Amino acid sequence: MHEICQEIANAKIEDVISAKDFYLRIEGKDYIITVTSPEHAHLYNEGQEEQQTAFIVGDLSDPVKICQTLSETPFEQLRPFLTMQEES
Amino acid sequence: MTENLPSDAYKETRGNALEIQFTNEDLPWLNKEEVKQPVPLTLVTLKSGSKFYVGSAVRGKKLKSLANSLKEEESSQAQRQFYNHLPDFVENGWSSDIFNVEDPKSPWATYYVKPTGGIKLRTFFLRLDDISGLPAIIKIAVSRKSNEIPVLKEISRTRKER
Repeated sequence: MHEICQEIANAKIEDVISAKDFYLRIEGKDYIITVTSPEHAHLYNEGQEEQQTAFIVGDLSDPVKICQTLSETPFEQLRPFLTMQEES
Repeated sequence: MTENLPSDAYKETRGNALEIQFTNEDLPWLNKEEVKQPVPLTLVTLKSGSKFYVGSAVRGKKLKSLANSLKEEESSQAQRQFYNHLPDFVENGWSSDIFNVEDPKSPWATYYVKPTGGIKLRTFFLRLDDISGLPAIIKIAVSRKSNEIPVLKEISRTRKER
């Protein structure tokens, strides 16, 4: 598992969660990643590869499973979706 | 100071209406001096006729410093994005680009606008449900997306260890 993997926010469409933001710490560096479901991916990923802003996971309901999925995904695969954070 | 609203999203019927006096319980990241100044509210009327109040309380050393680090065009862009998302959010209570912050320090629901398409700015705000019968949106922070965690560490119980 990553050093930190914490759900920090979620977006909804009507009463259904469409995306979640997670705070990740990987090898001492902080990042934010947006995850979305296959059903809602079109809202966050707009065609061009550089505009793919959300990492697709199967199920948005369980943050523990999402953290597990993220930790099992190679860094290179996550990298396009990560927003590196400045030191706070 | 009242907000400079982009006129294309709204009718022109707006005006200073109220002030709100927050307490340290409302904005616990601020000290007593920072919270004691009332926040002027502007009454905004949407094209649909719906009304809400909007105000700005970007205060506190850290949050002001992050907001002030933006270039003028970044501040303007963040302002436009923020106001362009408010009509749908106020009328529906949701928007796919507005994220509800987990475990906020304020007792008020706390959100940030995160537009799709590689936009590099974030605007954080509180939603108060009933100020004289209308919702009120209070901006509390604006930052680059690379400073989202520093803002969240101020306004939510996001993990702090480093």
